[in-house]
Amino acid sequence: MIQLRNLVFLVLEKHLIWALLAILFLVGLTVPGFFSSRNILNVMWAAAPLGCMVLGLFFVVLTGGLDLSLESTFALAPTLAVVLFFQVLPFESVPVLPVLGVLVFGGIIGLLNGLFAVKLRVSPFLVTLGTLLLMRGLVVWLIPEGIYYLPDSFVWLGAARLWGVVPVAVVIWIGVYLLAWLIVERHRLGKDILALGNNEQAAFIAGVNIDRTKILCFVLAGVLASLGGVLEVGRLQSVVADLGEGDILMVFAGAILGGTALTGGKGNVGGIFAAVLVIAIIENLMNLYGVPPSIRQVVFGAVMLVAIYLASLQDRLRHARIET
Amino acid sequence: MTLSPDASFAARALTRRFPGVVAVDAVDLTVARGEIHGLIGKNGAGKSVLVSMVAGLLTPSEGRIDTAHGALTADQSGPARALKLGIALVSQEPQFAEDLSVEDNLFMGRHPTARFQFTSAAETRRRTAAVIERLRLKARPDSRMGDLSVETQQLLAFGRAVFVDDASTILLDEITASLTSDRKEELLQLLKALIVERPELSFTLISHHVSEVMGFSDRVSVMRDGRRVATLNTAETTARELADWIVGDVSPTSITHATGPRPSGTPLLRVRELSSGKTLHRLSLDLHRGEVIGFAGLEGSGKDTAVEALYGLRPGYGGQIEIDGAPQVLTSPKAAQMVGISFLPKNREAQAVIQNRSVLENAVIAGLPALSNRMGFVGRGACETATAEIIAQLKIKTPSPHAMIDGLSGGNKQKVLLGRMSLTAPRLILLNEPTRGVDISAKPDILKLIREDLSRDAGVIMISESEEELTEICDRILVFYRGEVVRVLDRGAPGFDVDTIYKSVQGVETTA
Repeated sequence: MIQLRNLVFLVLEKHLIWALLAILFLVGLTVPGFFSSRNILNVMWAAAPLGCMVLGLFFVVLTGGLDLSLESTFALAPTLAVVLFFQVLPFESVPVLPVLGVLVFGGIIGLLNGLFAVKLRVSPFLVTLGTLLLMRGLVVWLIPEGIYYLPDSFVWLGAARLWGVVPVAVVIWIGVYLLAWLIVERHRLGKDILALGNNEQAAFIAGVNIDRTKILCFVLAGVLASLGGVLEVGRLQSVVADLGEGDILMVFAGAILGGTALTGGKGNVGGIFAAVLVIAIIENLMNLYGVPPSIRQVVFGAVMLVAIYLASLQDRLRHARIET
Repeated sequence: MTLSPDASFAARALTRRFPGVVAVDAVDLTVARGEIHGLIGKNGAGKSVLVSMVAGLLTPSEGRIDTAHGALTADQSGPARALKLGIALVSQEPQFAEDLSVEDNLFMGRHPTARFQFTSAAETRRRTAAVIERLRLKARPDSRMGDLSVETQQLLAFGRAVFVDDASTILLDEITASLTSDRKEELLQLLKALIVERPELSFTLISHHVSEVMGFSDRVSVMRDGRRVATLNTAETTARELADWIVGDVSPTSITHATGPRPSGTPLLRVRELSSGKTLHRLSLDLHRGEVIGFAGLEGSGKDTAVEALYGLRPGYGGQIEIDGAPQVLTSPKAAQMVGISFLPKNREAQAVIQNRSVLENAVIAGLPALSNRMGFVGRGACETATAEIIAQLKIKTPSPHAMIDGLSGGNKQKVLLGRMSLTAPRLILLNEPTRGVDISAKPDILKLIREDLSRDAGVIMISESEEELTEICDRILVFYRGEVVRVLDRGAPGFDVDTIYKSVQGVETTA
């Protein structure tokens, strides 16, 4: 009995998001067509680009910062690569280069955000609000009508399926999450990030390089957002000017729902992985239920409110248990 | 400069200036290897600034700290360098990341790593477990740091310095403050055992408890007003002698004031058997209008708790509180304010000053109910007049009533806050460290203000860590020690002096 109680507490305290996911699955079972491998894979496929952005934000938020510009990085990095490699330079013959280019651009954008926020001591909110607008403007200016019919090599990551079944994007998504989990839990970098997010002064006295670690997180976020961009571009087989526009709110929802504290220093990769799935499944279920598009956002907002409230209970539960 | 081979570190002509103050003034101090060296002095004597310089947290203005491996100077300082020289500071409040595990905190910034900088989890866990074992703590390497008691955290900080950083010069800044007496004893035994094990170690123990330093150390250095005034062999001295060194020669108070007959009749404030938690036991006192009562005592002696209980911040208190003969139940600050109690918190910047707003706004904030009309709109003219009065009466130095309060000196900010209190015409005024963070030149003004203006129509209770201040303005001084009032000293009666108060505060002399 005690053990059951402890188990319930453990789930509620640390793995509430997984309980939520399980509930959604149970709801899904009542909907014909939800629990097929085809549908599940499609849900994950659609979730992969968002997942990459959430992971990027996760790193920055762990340091106590934030990055609003990720949705613009998500669009600008692929845009720059497409314009540069397919319109300005004839590099189509080297298939890997454009994709690598996207990631490099993403990293540079993240580096600039990081340098501004950390070295020039401007609030990350303001810096990334500026770059959010600036980069969206660049995208609209560069490709006002969008670009369609991209080479197969460029869309392969987002569009192809391994053995005709598993989308490459899903494999990549899970891959980067595994890597991120290793970094956070088992690597010096992760330890440094958590330390400085929790108590910057203590980390400084302990000899952690605060500025470098923070900037590195911005770079990681840029690279991950641009990776998400590549996956989305592949899935849509095109680059459009409003790619990812407005997604940043969903990215924050994913991070927070996954148990990442906006104050920094607290969060885990498993949590945000589950949170991204939760968001994707809610959307999928609304599709399957045939919720009219006009009120979809209302339903979504309501579900998110409940979910975020539940997630916020975790801390209080823990305190309540310690005090008793 | 040569360093004798058995010295752990040597401070030479070490000086640190802050604007308007010399906190540490040309201090020479050598601590030997294998020694437990006590460092004692009153608050503000410069102990913490001195050890902060030794630990690289503050850069010396002049002078140097020599160790066998190199020196810290004005040009070369910093926590990383100090650590490299084998110096580690265990501070009063351990700097830990509360949400992280014990092992991640102990090895913060220095995790053992394997290939590609991946951390070696097994190694970290093994070494953390060894530290916990050695300190005989009840914690697991994966316990969340914030869930552990302050005592445990403190000992873990000590463990990090000794076993993880492998420091040889270890500075302990008031770490015994949060330890129970059993733990203190255990820690002392551990220090001694460690020195036997590793004779190159030295411990510098900062404390302002005379009894602790007497029990713990081999030698003790006394700091007073930023200078080292004595270094004594602990075995050859007494608590009494040490206390004399700490207090020094005190000139008699400069402010004279009339002491009429003790006021009689119904007291403004009557407290009987006031208790709260483990920190305050059965306090009784009577306070009349026009009186100033001082509370003296060490941190945790109950003086803060007493004042907090009177301001409704300790709703679970026991005992009776009467104001002007009427019994009161003070369970919230609002309830306290309703009966005319006003409180000046200890931490001015965090708890009282409204930053980024003008002097005027800061002055009138508590008086707004009186200065606004029935609709809640604030009368601009009334505020201006009230503020102008405060500025003139308290001689506040500010460019204008509309200047930002941030630009004012500590003393002037404090005057604004005292003015704020007077606007609400309180009956009982509670002041926690009113001269804290106030420059020396402004202190007499503030004391005079308390004595002559605030106490005119009200009763004042004032906490101060400065015995001089208490003897200057109080009619009566209550000395707290471990939750109880151990002495009551009346102005004019024998024992109303700095020396007696200091010794009573320390628990050295408690005969009433």
